[in-house]
Order: sequence, then structure tokens, then C-alpha cells
Amino acid sequence: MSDAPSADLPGWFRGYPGIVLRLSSTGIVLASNGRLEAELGRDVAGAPFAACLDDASSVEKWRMLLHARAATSCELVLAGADTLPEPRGFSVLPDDDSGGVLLLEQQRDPRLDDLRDQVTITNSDLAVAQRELLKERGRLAYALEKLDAQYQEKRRLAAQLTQRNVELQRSNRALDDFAHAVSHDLKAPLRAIANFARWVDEDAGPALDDEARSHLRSLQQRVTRMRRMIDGVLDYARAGRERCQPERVDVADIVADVLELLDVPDDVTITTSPPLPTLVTERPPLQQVLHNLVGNAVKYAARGTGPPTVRIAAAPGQGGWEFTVSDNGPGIPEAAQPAVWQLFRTLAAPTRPDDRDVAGDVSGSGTQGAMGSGAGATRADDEGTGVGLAIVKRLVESRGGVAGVQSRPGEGATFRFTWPEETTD
Amino acid sequence: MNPASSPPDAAGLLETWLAALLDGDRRAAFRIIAEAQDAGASLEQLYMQVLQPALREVGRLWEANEITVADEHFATAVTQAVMGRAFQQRFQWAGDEGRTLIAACPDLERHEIGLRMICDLLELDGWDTTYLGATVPADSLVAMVVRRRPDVLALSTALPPHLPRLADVITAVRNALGDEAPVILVGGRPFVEDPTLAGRLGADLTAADAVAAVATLRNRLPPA
Repeated sequence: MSDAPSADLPGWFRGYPGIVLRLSSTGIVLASNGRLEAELGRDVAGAPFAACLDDASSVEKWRMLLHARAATSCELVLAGADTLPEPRGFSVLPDDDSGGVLLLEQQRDPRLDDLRDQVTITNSDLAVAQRELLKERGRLAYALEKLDAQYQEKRRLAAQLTQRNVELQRSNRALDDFAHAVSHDLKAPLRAIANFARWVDEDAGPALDDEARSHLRSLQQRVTRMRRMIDGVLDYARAGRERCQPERVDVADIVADVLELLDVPDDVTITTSPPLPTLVTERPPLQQVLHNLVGNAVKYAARGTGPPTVRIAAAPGQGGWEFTVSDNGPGIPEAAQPAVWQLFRTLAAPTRPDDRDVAGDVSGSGTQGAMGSGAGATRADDEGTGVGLAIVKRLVESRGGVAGVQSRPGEGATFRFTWPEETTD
Repeated sequence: MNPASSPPDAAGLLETWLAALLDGDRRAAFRIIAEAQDAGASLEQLYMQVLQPALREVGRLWEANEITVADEHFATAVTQAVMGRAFQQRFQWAGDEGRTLIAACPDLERHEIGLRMICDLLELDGWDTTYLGATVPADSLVAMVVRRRPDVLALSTALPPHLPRLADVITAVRNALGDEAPVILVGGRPFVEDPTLAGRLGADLTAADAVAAVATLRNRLPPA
């Protein structure tokens, strides 16, 4: 480092804490107070000041300044700084002695520099954080939109469901009305036919020969059967439609009532195990279901080979109870099992084309519940309506339960159904 | 975005925006950009036809000794703030996570706006970009890249003295991930001045500005 050029500077410049340079009119360093050398770590005397500047940002700027000589201050970036090359502020004074300029670095407060650095870094951090927040908000907005869409869809479906329910109720009511009207219209002529048959029997009975009397009897039996079937249609139409108030129901009480109503023959053994539950539910439909199933079981138990036995059981299941009613009757072949739930099987699939064989309808021989093939009548026929099990299924399903049957020929039958319990709230 | 609608007169917009920046009028600057967005200007149009040229002009004015570094800092800060607002106005997450990108200015580098523009524009394209900003420590940047395995690592430096640290980051990522290293994009003034520099430092791609970078990346990495 040479001290020579600084000798050319006025004395008070030598102790100046910033860079001081005397430059020729072409920008050659004539004198320095040593600060620039200290910054760059090399001599600068005799060299163009442009060589001390950052090429990209400041060399051209400096040349223009020197050429124009208009500015009194400027900012320049020094070359070779390996840290952040922040611009330095300089005052530019005309130098009458050399015809060039005096360059004085403006004093900086290092605390202000620090502060500015902090602000710059904080600004960048804020930009990063802000952007992440914006993205997060975008995601939330998206999720919200999705939720809203789901909500709207649910509302739409619920409204649709309500509408469907209204329509369903309307059509159910219409069906009810229809069933009543039709039944009433059917029953009136049926009553008339029955009356006419009775009058013919009363008036001309003794005069008729055996065959004619047999036909008349058949006619009367058919009329009776048809009236029961019409009542069955009405029962079936009503089943599952009517709602009652849920109450505390002791199923053992129901079974006792049912057995009393059924007038069970003395030789039939009825067992209940384990003890039947008490639950909160609508009593009438449950009683109807048990009535039909127990009645069915009692009838067929009597047709088995062993001492007639009917077993009624209950076990807690999911959301309710599972009831079983078993008999030791002749059983039902698997292929015929689905058909036991159908309404009026005898109407849909007459066991005999020969409608005159009235006695066959009640003979009830052969396999329990078998259809067709001339093996015998079905349970429905024995009840005279063919709706007992159909009503069971309809009632159970209308309460959200499931009804089913398990049976093998010769081993009796077990009917089971689930019955949901009302949640007490 | 409304790419179809004609943007407000870009030259006029640039002029009023620049005037607001140089007047130090932050409110006017915000208002100008908000109005342009209301009139249908896309983020890309704002970034490329207004914000980026304005910053270039600010740099030119400093080199012409017409403004000081304080003016430049103010212009940068207002630009950053406006970018946040403009991006917020346009950003809508479409529910998909497409390509991923991590962007950072390593070590001491502070010229971050170009990277942020790239991130914002790709984000509107459905990319998931992580913008780490300025002066990101090289070690933690490398660790994050190794952990997150983005499709792209975008690095920027404007000053030659910072190039060695940028090269260190590239080397460290390549050493750690080998063939599974992300596509590495570099940008900044030194790479514009020397087109072969990016390759020499181990980068895959370089681009002159944010729009060129976005186009290059869209081309190189079509939607996943």
C-alpha cells in the first residue's frame, strides 16, 4: 500500500473515515486516503477508478457520470466484495486543481445498515409466510366449497325423499281406498250369491239329487272361502301401514294372549326359552306377527310324527331382538320356502286345475308348505286366506326387520324374524 | 383467470405503476393493480407486462443515477406486497396436487422476485410450489429437497459472488439424490449474460425471465 497519493489530498481528508479519491478528468486515481485500498486489498493509484467498480452495475454508470459531470452525488457498487455488494453513496466535487473530480464516500451509520438488512430479510420472510397462508386459505376455501356442495346435495336428496314420501303416502292411501272399494263391491254380490244358494237349498234342497246338492254345498264353501280371501286382502293392505304409539311391551304377555286366542289343543306343548324380553315397541303389529306364526306352528306341529311341540324363543340382536317360532311338523322343502311368504299362492298357482275338488283344499296331507305337484295343501289354504305369512313378512319389514324360515322335510320348521326396538328418547 | 379478455393497455399501465413506485405512493400502486385485475388483467400479464419491466426500469434509473438505492428498495417492497394481493385475487385451489417445485435464493442471495413470480404462475397452473424466499441457508435447503423430493428445484442468484454457493447446493442435491435429483432450474442475471453458465454449474435448465421459465417447465414437465 502506498502512502504517496494521499499526500496530494488536503490534510483534513486523510483522517476522513470514508473513501476519498482525487481523480483525473479521465477517471484515473491520482490520490487516495487509503480507505479504498483497505477495502479492496490492493493498490489503486494510477489505475482507472472504473477498475474498482462492479462491472455489471456500476462501470457504465461511472463512465457516464464522469463524462457528463452533472451529478453531485451517486451510488456505486465496488468490485470484488464477496459479501452483499450494497451500493456506496459518493459525493462528487469538481477538482479545480486537476480538472478532474474529488470523490467522497458519504458517511454511513452501520446501525442503519444493519437495520436495513433486517428489514429486507423480514420482508422476505413475510412474503414467504403470506404466500403459504394464501395457499392454505385456498385449500380451505376449496374444502369449504366441497362441503357446501355435499350439503346442498344432501338437502336436495332430503327434499326429494320428502317428496317421494308424500307421493308414496298418497298412493298408499289411494291403494287403501281402492282395496276397500273393490272388497266392498266384491263382497256385496258374494253375499247375494250366498243368500241365493241358501234359498235354493231351503226351497229346493229336498228335491235335489245328491250330485246337485253336492254342487250347491261346494258353491257355498267357495263363497265362504272367497269372503275370507277378500278380508285377507284388506288385512294385508292394512298390515304395515298403520302406526301405533310405542309402549313397554312384555312379549311373554303377548304370547299368553296369543295362545288364549288361538285355543291351542291340549296335546300341543308350548315352550318359551329363554325368558321372553320386555321391549319398547308398537304392540299390535308384534302381536299380529306372533299370532300368525304361533298359529301356523301349532297347526303344523300337529301334523308331525312326534308329540306336537312349539318352541318360542328370543335373543338380543343388533338394534333389536330376534324371535324364533319352531315346530316339529313335517317341514318345508328348500325349494318351496321362498313361496311361503307369497300372498294367495293358491290363487296364483292353484294346486289343482279341477276347481271342484273342494275337499282337497283342507286335506293338508303331505309335506308342510309344499306347492304344486299335488302333494297337498299349503298352510295358507288351511288358514283359509293365504295371507298369514305374507302379513308377517309385510309387518316385519315395515318395521325395518327381516323375516326368514329354516326347515328340512321331516324336521319341522323354524320361522325367525327380527324386531327393532324403539330407542327410548 | 380471464385469458380471453383484453388486458388494459399494458404500456399505459406500466407508466402509471412506475410513476406510483417512484413517487413512493403505496396506496396508488395497490389501487392501480387492483383496478387492472378488475378489468381482467391476468396474473401473468401483470407480472410480465407491468411488475417485471417496472423493476427493470427502476434498475436502469439507478444506473442512470436518477434514483437512489432507497427508491429501489421501496419499489421492491411495494412490488412484493402487490404480488401478494394479486396472487390472492387469482389463486383458487382446484383440489389437485400436480407437479411440485421448491424455489429459493440460496445463502446470501436476495433477488427473489423472479422466483416468486415463477411460483405464483405455476401455482395457478395447478402446481404445488414452495417458495422459500431470499437468503435460504444452503444446508437446510438441501435437506428440504432431499426430504420432499420435488419435481423441480428452482434457484436464483443475481450477483456473481453468490454463484459458488449456488453451485454447492446443486452439487449437494445431486450427490444426495443421484438419478432421482429434481430438475434443476437456475436463473438470474449471470445466467442471462452467459448462456453456458447454467450447464457448467450442473443445472438442467435456465431461463431469461419468469415467463420463459414457466414455459420451459410446462414443456419439460407436462401435468403429472
